[in-house]
Amino acid sequence: MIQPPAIPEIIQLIPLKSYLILSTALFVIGIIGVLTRRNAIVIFMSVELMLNSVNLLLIAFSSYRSDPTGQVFVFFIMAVAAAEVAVGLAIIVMIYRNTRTIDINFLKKLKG
Amino acid sequence: MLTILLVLIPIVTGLLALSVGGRTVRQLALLGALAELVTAVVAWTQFDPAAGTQFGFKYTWIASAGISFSAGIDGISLLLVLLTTFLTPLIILSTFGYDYKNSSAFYALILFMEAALVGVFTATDVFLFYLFFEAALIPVYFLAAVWGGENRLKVTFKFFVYTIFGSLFMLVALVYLYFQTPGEHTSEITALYDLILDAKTQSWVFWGLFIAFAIKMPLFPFHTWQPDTYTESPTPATMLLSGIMLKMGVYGLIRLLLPIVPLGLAQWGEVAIVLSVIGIVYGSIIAIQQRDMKRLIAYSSFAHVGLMAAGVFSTTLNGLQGALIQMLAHGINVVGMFFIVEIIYSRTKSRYLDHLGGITQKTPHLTVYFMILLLGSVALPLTNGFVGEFLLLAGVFEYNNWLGAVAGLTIILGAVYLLRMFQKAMFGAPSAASESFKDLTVSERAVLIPLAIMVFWIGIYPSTFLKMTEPAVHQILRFINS
Amino acid sequence: MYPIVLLSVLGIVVLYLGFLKSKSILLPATLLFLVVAMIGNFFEWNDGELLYFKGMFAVNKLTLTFNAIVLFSAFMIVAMTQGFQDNEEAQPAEYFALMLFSLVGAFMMIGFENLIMLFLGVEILSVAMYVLTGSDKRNLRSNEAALKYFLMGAFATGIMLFGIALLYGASGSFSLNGIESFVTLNQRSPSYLLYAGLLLVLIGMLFKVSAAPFHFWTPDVYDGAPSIFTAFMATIVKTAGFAALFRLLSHSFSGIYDFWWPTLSILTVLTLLVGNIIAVYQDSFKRMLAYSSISHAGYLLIALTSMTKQTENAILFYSMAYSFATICAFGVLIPVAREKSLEGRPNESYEAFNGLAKNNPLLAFVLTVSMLSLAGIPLTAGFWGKFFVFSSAVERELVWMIIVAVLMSAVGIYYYFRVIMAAYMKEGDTATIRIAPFYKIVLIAATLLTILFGLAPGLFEAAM
Repeated sequence: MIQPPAIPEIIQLIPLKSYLILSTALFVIGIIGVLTRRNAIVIFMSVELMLNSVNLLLIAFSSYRSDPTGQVFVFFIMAVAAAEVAVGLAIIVMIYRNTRTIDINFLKKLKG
Repeated sequence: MLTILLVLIPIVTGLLALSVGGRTVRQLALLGALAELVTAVVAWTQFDPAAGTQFGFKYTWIASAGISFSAGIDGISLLLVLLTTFLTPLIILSTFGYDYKNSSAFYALILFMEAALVGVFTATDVFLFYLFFEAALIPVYFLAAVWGGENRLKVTFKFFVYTIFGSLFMLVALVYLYFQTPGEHTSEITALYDLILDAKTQSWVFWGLFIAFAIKMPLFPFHTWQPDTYTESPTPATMLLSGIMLKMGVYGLIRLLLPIVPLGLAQWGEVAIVLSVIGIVYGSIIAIQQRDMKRLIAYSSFAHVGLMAAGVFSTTLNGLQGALIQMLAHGINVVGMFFIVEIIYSRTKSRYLDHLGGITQKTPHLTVYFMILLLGSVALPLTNGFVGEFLLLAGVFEYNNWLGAVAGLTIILGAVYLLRMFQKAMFGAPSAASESFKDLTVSERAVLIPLAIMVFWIGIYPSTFLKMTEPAVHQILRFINS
Repeated sequence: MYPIVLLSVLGIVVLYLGFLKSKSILLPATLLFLVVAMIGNFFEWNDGELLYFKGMFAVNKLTLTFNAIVLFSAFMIVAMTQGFQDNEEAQPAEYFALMLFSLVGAFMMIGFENLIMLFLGVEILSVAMYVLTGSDKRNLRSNEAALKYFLMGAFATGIMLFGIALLYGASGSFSLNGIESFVTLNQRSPSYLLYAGLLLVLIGMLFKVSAAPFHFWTPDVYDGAPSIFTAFMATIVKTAGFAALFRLLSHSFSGIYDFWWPTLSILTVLTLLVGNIIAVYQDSFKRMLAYSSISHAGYLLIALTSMTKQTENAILFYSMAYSFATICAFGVLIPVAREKSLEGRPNESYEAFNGLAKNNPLLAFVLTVSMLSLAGIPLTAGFWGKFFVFSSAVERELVWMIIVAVLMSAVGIYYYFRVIMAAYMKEGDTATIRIAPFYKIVLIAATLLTILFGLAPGLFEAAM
């Protein structure tokens, strides 16, 4: 295996484990938000939180491995997330126009 | 080449029938079925019983999996092909007096059914066998569900799910066996005969196959779909079901179950034979209480098939030969009986014994044919039923005296319910329903005469057919005992 | 590779065509573009294994065949739109362009060699589908379906991304080869990052293919979306999703088969049970098709779980048979539901099909063949799909899974036959429904292919 280049000391001040714990915590908060909140915008924000926890994790791994691909991936995630926001907000606005609410509990037309 | 012709003729005629439509369709269907019969008879004349599987045909189907479209005819196949091709034209002819809506679809389905049945009896590749085994179900389901009686939807649905469910287990068993073949996997039936499996595996495979065939025949306790389906189906479908399709189950036992899993049979054969014998007695006793003629014959058929299965599971030469000849005889008798019930029903609008009576006085002809077919079913000497039941009972006695004795009840009980039906329907004072009973038409006679001839042919000179099947049965027995 | 480039460009061309006054050119143009992409797809047929974008994207016979299935399904679905002529508010140019773009996403999911590519493919496909699901803007049901699909889809993407990040943390690579070499090197010593990452990626992907217990969005979304886009979702998204799952598991993670198969087998059994049993209780045909698509995800998962030599063939054949049959089912549902519409809304219940055979024998026949194929009855392509799937499970001797699958196949017959019985045996009057000749040709072609592959499944292999 190719020996990776040395990791700058400034990064090593905080161990990788801390990044892992922080981003996992953010991720879990995001999941809980999606599962418990009823407002479409808040759910959407929780999803964004999940994505950002991923970004944080990727950057941490990338720095610790001195491997830039992880950071490239982060750009992709940000770009795609922006596209998703555009579509998602459009859908929410469309619903608001029709129902004057964005509480997902009001959306019960579809029942099996 | 003849084999592929046998499968193709009904399909082509069926497609033609679909595209033609109109009143000529029944003549077309009859013509196709007769052409099929001629082909089968040609095969019969060229057939050499000692030469094993003949008229073989093989076409690579799924190359990488070693599955081929291969079919051929040996003695056992030929017997059942003859039965199928003999009965189908008669079944088509039997519909000439009636009008079925959408007749082109109706006759096309009968012909597709015939093709699938011939396919089952001639396939020499297990997956091809399975495919035809299942494919036969689709036409008969539609025949019963579209043209059937009041309750048809529920009843035919139960029948369909029941049988598909059983055969899925067979499929899994067959796929398993296929993976056990050495080297490049193959699904030739003869390759599966050579498999050496341990006793535990064999008992699994045994149940997989047994349930599929037991549901199809049906054996006790898998029979609950049968009486309702037979009663609700239009009579041609009932004839196909009871006359031919039921034989697929017995054929499957002989062709696959016995030679592939002899050790499984050694472990579970007793259970199977006891179930068969219970079915005989149970079916007979219920038949005695029936008032509906169609239902009565359905239960009698259930009892008879129990005896066939018992003969097969006795794994004796007599039992197997008896089962084969009885398949032929039962097919002829039951089709004839259902047809007579249909004749009576079409004239009196009733199948209930309480409403009937005194038909003899109105039509002596019908009485004669009815009597002949009835005596065949009761197994009077010199009729077809006698040969089969005698051999079957001999086989079961060889296996176990007690079981033989119980199975022997079938003759006594059979005489009870059949003669009771005959007496109630035909004798006595004419009832209101049978007051204006018309005599048989030409087409009705044309159905009944060949059936009556066959009753005596098999009864008086059964060796025409027994000789045909004997080498093949010996071969099967060799695999069981090796 | 060609289809990706072609469809990306041609999608934009379709958008420009939308500026023309006459909308009638859009449908033939889109169909032509799909044919062009199909031809482009086969340009690389004999080139063996190709890699593009620095090894991030692979082209080989497997991916090309998946592409062909997806393209063919898309062709049939687009042909069935009839150019959205009868809908005043429709924006056909945008719909067609979005469909072409979503196909690009599907191709990326099929051919990915790098998890970045997988992520992009999933997102391109999904974002386009969110819009199409909500395309019936004034219809609250469509709105609701779009919102549910969007929130659940984004949620699933988030989970998958976290899994990808963990895989990267464990192996230091996003490429399938890099992860594979890491997995083979560390087969003995477990890396929890890797295991957790794999599980999260699997959950994210299983969301997309609607496997239980991540299926809860499926019935609502399938039910609420306009039928034509439901057909798109049920066939193309599912095929691409399973192609991606197959490549991921067979390529990178075959080294730790013992780790993931027990998990996957539990989910498989659960999916089969949920899909089939709940489908029985549906009164709406469309909703039944949604549950049926869950149950078919279960059968495909059987093939994935067993992961034998046969799996590749089984998944290809199964997804093809399933796609054709599903397209036929929707192809019949759309005109029938419109004909029988209640209060301005298409009637998608079973009752709408009562007595269909009397005046519309062709539609009834197409429906019957597609239902038989979905139920896996012999002489249809669906039977061989099930056959190959069961074979792979039997080869691994996954006894319990087979028993559940067999039982559930029998249950499946119940709900598939309900509509056949309605069409042929129930009383009802459906006026003769006029269908465009091209629509008819597509339905007949899909039906004939279903029967053809049912009679001669070897043809498919010969084509490979």
